[in-house]
Amino acid sequence: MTNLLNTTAMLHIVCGAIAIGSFGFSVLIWWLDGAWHYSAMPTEGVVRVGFLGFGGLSTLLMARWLEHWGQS
Amino acid sequence: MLLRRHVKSRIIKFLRVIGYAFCVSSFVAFGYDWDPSRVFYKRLKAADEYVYDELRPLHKTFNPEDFITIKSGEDRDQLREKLRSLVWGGDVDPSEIRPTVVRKDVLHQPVDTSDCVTLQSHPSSPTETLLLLKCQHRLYADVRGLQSLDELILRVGPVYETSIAYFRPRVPNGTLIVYQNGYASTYHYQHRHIERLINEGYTVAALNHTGYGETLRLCEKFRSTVGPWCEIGWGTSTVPRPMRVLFSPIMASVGHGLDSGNIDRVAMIGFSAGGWLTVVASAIDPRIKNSYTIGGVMPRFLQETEEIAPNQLYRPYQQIGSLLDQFILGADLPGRRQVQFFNRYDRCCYRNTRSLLYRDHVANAIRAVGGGFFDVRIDETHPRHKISKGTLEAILDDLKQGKDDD
Repeated sequence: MTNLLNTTAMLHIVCGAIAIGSFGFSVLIWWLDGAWHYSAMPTEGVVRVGFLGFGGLSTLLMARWLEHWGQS
Repeated sequence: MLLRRHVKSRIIKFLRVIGYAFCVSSFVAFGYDWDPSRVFYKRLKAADEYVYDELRPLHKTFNPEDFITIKSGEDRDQLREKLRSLVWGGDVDPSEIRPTVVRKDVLHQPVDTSDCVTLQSHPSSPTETLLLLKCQHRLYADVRGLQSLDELILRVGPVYETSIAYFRPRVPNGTLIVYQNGYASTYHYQHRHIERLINEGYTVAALNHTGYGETLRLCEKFRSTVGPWCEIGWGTSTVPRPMRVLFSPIMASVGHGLDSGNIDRVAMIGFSAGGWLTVVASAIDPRIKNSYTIGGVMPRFLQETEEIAPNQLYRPYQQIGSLLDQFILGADLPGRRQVQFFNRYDRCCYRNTRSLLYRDHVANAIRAVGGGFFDVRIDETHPRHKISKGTLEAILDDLKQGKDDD
């Protein structure tokens, strides 16, 4: 438990929440406004936010996996 | 072992930094792309306060009255006749122009799409300028309110040929909307707006600007014969009365619609360069009762240097008079309405609130000749060159208002 809630873990959670939240809101706005390139959040914006967010998330997950790799 | 642990810890740190940076960037990208926050960003990045917020002192020195020459019904009729003969010559009645060929219900006809990939890709033209109706059926196949889609083919002069998409709604409300697209894309880019209009019961005739969609390939392939006809889209031409190419398809759509018997009102919407086509078409043809332009037209005395639209540069047209007079012609009779929409934070053109400088002068001149309604509206909800959902709603409201007034 202590391990999970150390500073690094908290940072990972916050970052993950930012990435998922940004992507979630992007998709929601895009969808509600017609799901096209002229939405208030255009299609290319959703792709950009998604690419960066999921890029960030997967890099952090990779770091966590590497941290624990070889320890168990 | 120690070295391996050291390397591993460096890699972990590196991945963490990259991960944090990407996550934060996703949030920044959200702000960069979302319309309301992008407005804030664009204003922050503007070169000076005159881009979006303040009006240039130079623009305020002009008196729009000086550019209005229509003072009576006679002036109005003379200018209309001048425009008409500039486009077609004296012996052609534009109300008699009809499509050369009508292809009925194209969505349910067998179509060869095997060449679509080739036709819609080009090394020097972006895909959005090349989209062809026969390759874009999927955009309209599931439109709830669509009864059928016809393709109207119009031949102008000996060689130039253009295509018009004519959407018939299941429950027509009696109004035909001619949608005229501008530069840098085709009307397929507006497919959601077209869908909305169809679902509201409007019959829609959608047109590309000269040199886009179907005509792009034609202009290119037959450069020596068709090419000179296409050049009018960029302001020059050596063929006789080249402006026919721009306005005959509009007249053909209106004539075809009125012939069908279920149309009692014609409206026109023009986006970007299509806005100018809308102004001139409605100035020439009083059958167009409602006209709407979006980020499309601005009198020369209020234009910024980079905003001069090439299709307006044809010299004989330049000599015909001011755009303010043509705005008056677009709403010169009772029941006619013209509303011009501008995106205040438009990335492309005619941004800010310059257009408000002439609004009241034009509206007063229209009243003086016993005409209808004229207005200018500013859309502040986004920083793009587009027809926003709010603008389309405002157009639909105005169309209903026009019908109620009848």
